This record gives sequence, C-alpha cells and structure tokens, in this order.
Amino acid sequence: MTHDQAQEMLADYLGGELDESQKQQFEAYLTGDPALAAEVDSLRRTLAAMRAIDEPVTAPVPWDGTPPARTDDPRASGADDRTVWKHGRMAVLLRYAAIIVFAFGAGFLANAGARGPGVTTPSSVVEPAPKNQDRARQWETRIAVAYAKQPGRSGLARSLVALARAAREP
Amino acid sequence: MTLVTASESTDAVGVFKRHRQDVYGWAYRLLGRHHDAQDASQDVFLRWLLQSRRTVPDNPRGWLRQVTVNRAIDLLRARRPADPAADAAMLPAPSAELDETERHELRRDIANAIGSVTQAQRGVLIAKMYDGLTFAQIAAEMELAIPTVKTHYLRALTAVRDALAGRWAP
Repeated sequence: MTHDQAQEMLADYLGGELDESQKQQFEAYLTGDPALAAEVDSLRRTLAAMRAIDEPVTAPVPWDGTPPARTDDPRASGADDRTVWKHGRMAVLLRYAAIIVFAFGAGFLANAGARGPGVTTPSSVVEPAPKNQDRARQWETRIAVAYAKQPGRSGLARSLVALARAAREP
Repeated sequence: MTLVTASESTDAVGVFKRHRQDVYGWAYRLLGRHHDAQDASQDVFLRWLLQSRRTVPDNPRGWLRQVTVNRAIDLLRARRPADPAADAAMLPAPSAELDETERHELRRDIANAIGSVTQAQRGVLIAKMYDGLTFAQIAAEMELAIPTVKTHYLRALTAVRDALAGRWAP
C-alpha cells in the first residue's frame, strides 16, 4: 500500500466502513508511517471524545412537537384571575366590544346632531329625513369599502378596522 | 423539491412528529441542555411548517437535520460569545471519567468546533456521527459526490480535533 492509497482509505477507516481485511491492511501500513499514524490516532481520540459525551436523548414529555404556548397568555405563566381579567383574552374581547359600542354611539350622536337641537323625532316616524339618509348611506359605503380592502383578516378584525377607517374619513 | 397543495401540507405536522425525537437529539447533542434543545426544536418546527407551505423537501429528515444543527449552532453562539482566552482551561482526556460540568464543557467545545466549519462539513459530520449513515447514503442525501463527502468528514473532524487540542491531559 502507498501513502496516497492509505490517505484515500483514511475516511473509510475512521468512519468504520472498511471490511476486516482492508482494516488490517491499513493498520499494517500505519506501523511504517509514523506521521500518518499520529494523525489517525488524534482523529480517533477526537471521535472517542465525541462518543464519550453522547448519550441517548429523549424529548421530555409532554412536548410533542406542537408550537409553544402563546406568550401573551397570562395563564401560561400561572397568573391569577385579576391578571387574567386585565391582560387576558376576556380583556381583549371587552375592549373590542367597547370600541364597537363607542363607534355606533358616535354614529348615533352624529345623526342626532344632524337633526338639530330641539327637534324631536316622533316615534311613528320610520323613514329618516333625506339629509340623514345620505349620511347613513355614506357611512354604509365607507364601511363596506374599508371592509372589502382587508382580505385575509378575520371578520371581527375587518369590522373593527373598517369602522375605524370610516370614522377617520372626512 | 416537490410542490404540494394546501391540503397535502396538513401532513407536515405528521412528518415532523415522526422525526421529532431525532430533531431533539441533534439539538441536545450540540446544546447540552434540555431547555435549549426544546427551544431549538420548536424553532425548527415552525420553520418546517413555513417551508412545507411552499415546497416539501424530497428528504425531510436531511432537511430537518441541517436546519436543526444550524439553529443549535446559532443558539450556542447567542448563548455565549466566543472567547478563546476563557476557553484555555485544560480538560482531562476523554477516556477519563468526566463529571457533569466537564461533560457540559466538552460538549460545548465540540459544538463550537462544529459550528466553526462549513455547513456542508457540519452536516456530513453530524449525519455520520449521530445518524450512523454511510458515506454513500450521505452523498445521496446531500447530492454530493462520495469523495467530496469523505473530504468534508475529514475536514470537520480535523477542525474539531484542532479546537480541542491542548484541552486533553498530556
């Protein structure tokens, strides 16, 4: 065996892919090549070090590959009920509800102002005045346009954003 | 890469679950701590979901191994900045009994050394050491020539040896 042939067999030797006769042939060559023998020895020790600290690893239960829990869920960190009410999903839903109520209330007040002070609306009146009909139709158009411009969001999110945008328009 | 429809991507979770123990094992071998291994594994899972929505790799296991190793290396670097001077402490020879701290330090040094080589060299070494693949199997998986795989293996192993040199008892 030549030095070049031994070099070509080095990876297979270290990787355990030589058969027994090839392995003996390679080791026999090493006895006459101290430099290569030292190289092989240091690499074998490196492999031994890597194997020495290797151990069977099992993912701890109950992790089963599911995504981590939401970091904004206070219950995940053991928060008490007061914290949950303040920061949890219920608080978020209540905020959404408050925004909706405020938006509709603002629209109602805007309509009431358009009718003018001192003007009462008889309970028998069903149809709003023509001026209020235009304003209502304007609101409906604004909201519908803003809603349609948001593909991909949830219905609730689109409704809220549509209301906000419609309210900002002059 | 194989293109899949949205409905077929629902199997992505199932594919990951079949390899989750391997993903966790690769991460733990480099990071040495269950908490960090779990973080890395969950990051890999999210990346797998994003990847599977576009195209599914022909070899999911190879893809997961490569991404897991890279992610673990990133976490290792982020956990502790490189400080060669601080790593000058002598470690006992790998054949000697190591306590838990020494094992952790050795694992960290090996992981840092693995992180210093190229991505291809890293992938070959991990696949050979921890998955027990042959050079031919690695070459087929990584679409490389067998001699190239062997070269990567030797260079990665040499880099690990050089990084650990001086840390073994004389």
